[in-house]
Amino acid sequence: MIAVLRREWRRFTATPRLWWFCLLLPLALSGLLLAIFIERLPGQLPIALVELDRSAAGRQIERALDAAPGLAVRQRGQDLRAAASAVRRGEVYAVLVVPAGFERALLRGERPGLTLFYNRQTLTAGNLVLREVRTAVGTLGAGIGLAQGVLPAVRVENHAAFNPGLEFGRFLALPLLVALLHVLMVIVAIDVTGRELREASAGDWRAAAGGRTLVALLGKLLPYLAWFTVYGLLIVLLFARLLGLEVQGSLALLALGWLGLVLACFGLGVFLVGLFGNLRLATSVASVLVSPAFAYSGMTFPASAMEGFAAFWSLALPLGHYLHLQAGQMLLAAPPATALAQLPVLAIFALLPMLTLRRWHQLLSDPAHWGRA
Amino acid sequence: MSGIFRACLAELRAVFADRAVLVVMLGGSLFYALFYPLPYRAQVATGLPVLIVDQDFSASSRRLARWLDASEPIRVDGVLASARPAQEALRRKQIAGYVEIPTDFERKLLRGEPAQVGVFANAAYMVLFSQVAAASNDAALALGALEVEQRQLRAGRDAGTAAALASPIRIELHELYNPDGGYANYVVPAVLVLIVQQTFLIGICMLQVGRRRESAVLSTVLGRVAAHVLLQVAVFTFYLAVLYRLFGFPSEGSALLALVALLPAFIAVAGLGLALGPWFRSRETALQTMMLASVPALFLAGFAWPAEAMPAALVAVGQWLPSTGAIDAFVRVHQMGAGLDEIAATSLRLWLLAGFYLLLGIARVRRSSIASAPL
Repeated sequence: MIAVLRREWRRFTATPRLWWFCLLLPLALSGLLLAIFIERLPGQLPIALVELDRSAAGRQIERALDAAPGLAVRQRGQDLRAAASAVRRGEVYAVLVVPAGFERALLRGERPGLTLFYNRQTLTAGNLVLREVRTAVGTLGAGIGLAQGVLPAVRVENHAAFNPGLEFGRFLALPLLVALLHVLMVIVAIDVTGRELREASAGDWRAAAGGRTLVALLGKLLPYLAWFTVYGLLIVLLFARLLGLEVQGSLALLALGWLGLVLACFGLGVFLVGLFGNLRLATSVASVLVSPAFAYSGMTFPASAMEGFAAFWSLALPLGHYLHLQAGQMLLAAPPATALAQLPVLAIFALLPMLTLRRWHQLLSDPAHWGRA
Repeated sequence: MSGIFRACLAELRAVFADRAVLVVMLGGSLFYALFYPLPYRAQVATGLPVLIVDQDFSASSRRLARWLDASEPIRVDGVLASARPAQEALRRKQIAGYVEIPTDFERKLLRGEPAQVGVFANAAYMVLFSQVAAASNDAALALGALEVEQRQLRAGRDAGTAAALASPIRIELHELYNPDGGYANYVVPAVLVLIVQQTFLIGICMLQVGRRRESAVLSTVLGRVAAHVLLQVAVFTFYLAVLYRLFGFPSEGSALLALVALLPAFIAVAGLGLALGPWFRSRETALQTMMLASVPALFLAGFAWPAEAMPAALVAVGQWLPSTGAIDAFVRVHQMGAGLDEIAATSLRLWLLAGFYLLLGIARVRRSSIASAPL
């Protein structure tokens, strides 16, 4: 075992690629994501106002929109066609039309309608604009009612549980970072084992382990497992802290879950190299499995709404299981028992290489498997 | 010219003769495009589970519960008398949210005072929060407006005035380009652009790793670029002609115009691939690098997360990636029906980028050797 560890250290220090993967990339990727999502509130989203009714009421609407914190009225005019073009030019996300005769209809109590055209192709921005405009117009309407002595019958108080500031960026950034680190760990697992076959150094590796396959694999992977468990968890926690998130549930469970994810990623990687006996093929297949994993994790689009194969696949990958555990412990203060649903699944992935042990034995002892591109 | 043509043919032959490259470039770009949209096929999450905490136990509170249950995005899973178990269920993520109707709900309604309703939605997940909040607010406020209208009628006002006092301003909503706010319609077009960029960068880099010691003349490089542009056009044509029909994605613009808009991006990708190739010592490293680059590239494009919410410096960095301009141009021309004049600024940037990466590719291919590859 000691000989394998020593050999791995020499290989590591001589390979700049591994320095990148293990040291620099986790930092660089988290720095980049942090920079993308650090601004707490999305800036003011631009909209256009088409005023076909130049009146006091029209100006009131304009003021209400200007006062909305998430909106900026970027264009004003009477030309609906120009405003539509502004949407297609990407200059504004929505157009609010104040129809001709709006004020007169309002004074006569005819319930005039404002028309909002909003871009749902850019879903996040479109929905934000919709919410802001509805709030602004709703407030204005309530004010008009109030002026005539009419109180609303029902008032709704909205509570954004676990995220009072509605800062969705922070809640997207953390799972995204984990998704990237998980891709990185699978890559490292495949690289350090598969590269030995590719470069035909597997015989030397096996010799250092005294011919024992399990010792060869464990000795090679232990340093990386330990490193990513500690370094990865530190990065995740530091990243969360910089985003202003604090662990609401159990830190110990979160750490245990992270260990589970590290083991699952390395398990998956070593399993794939064992299965295919080829660095390139294992990396290609891993890419197919882990690159889309975030889309299947249920962090953006709810897993409960997925259909058929996607519903199955969202459970068949390790990432979603960890991310739900993390959300539970980091944000929701979920009861510890909820983590019991996720930890065993991660353990299954960690044990996957056991299925390929015999195959690994062949790969390490038969030179026919070495040196293949 | 014939030199370019010959080099183009030779490059196409090289792609089809190299199984590893073929698997990534054509296999990968087709497979990912079929695989990525699957989670979002339902487009909209409906029937999200919510609970009702009814502390009032009145005819009015039961009426509100029925109105909430009738709303499509949410499904009322049960009615509880106290908030504690609902909070617990929210923490366990068994429900997406709950609506709290306090004890004096009916009394206040009868007295004509505003009655309070509390909506608690899981805001750790954006889709859950927006669906639950929007649906419960709509239902509760509609009930409130009806109540006001009935009060005014009872007070002897005519129907029109009563309705006007209940909600003086109507707001008519027109969704543009993406009916019902479908999630797949929103994400997939952008991701398709990114898939082509990433798989082709990997494939082109892989091809370059094998051929270090040659000294290619200008026409050879241009021929290679032409080959990779042709292949990208072929893959994208498949997306537009087959994939869009298969998944039923909407589009307002023409496919042909979309390909024209994407042309500079395809050239930029080909040039960038040739320029990056000499960086890699082995083919696998190219694959590994691009796997890690995909997510940052998608977010730098300012699409999945609005660019208005990103620091300006980062938006500028994102402009150096072909995918940033390409996603913007493709989404606006093909999804939103913009004309080429309406994407002029983006097109100009993309052509400049294409020119820059083409020159970079030419310069790198003409002097590269294996010894200088850092990764």
